[in-house]
Amino acid sequence: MDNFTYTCPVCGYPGLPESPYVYADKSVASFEICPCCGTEFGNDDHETSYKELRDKWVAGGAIWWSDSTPPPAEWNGRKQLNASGLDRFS
Amino acid sequence: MSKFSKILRSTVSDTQDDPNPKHNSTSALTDFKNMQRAIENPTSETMQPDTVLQLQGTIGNRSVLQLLRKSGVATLSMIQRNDTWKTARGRKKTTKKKQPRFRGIDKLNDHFQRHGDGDGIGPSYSTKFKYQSAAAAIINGGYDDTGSAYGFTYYWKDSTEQFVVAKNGDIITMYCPEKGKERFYEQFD
Repeated sequence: MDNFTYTCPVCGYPGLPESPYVYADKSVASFEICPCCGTEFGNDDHETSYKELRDKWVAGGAIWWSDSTPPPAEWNGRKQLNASGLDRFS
Repeated sequence: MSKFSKILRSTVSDTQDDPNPKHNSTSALTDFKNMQRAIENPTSETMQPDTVLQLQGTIGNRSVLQLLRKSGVATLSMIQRNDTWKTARGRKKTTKKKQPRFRGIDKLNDHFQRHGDGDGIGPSYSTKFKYQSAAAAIINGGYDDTGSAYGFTYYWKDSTEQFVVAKNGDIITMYCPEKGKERFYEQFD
């Protein structure tokens, strides 16, 4: 298994172990769930845009989603979004 | 007499004066004979699982492993799982079928957290393992429709409207799509 990680296009979390999609055209989803915002690729984003999902996550307080995967030390959702540059699209 | 036979004999003679009638019963004698046969001639016939387990408790794991290697019938892990096995001469083999599972406990936890309640449409599960077993049951024939694309296999169950995604025998997700079976068909567009 490689050590590459992928960035969540919704919340900017940089630690996804798998790419959200197998192909860049979003034709084959990995059905990976982002532990940060809870987005399941291929399900939640199927008919909802990343921006809508992001806005919803931010409106909910930009809190960590997963009960089993802990957030990185001193994690802050809004700072993560700023660092990823995705906040410019919100 | 082999060293294993000596160990076996000494162990049995230690228990001959045992006041517990169970230890001197006919079945104990049969067990002893079976073990002795296995030691003297370790083959698929003599190295039956029950006998091997008794030998483990009598002459120890390492010695049993040596006998198993001689007989060439099984590995210790097979015996510890209480399976029967196929011999080099083609006798019966019963191994547990590997059940589909999520690729890691974190993935199971996250998918259960997300879909364990049935998404408000389908059945809900009280534990993550019940959720996982339900997905495995669908993969193991409990589906009404299935198809593969790009290395993924997709399953659909009509009665519960559950959609299961698997890859290389592992469960990727199971949920009830809002769009119903259309979501299943879309995988092959």
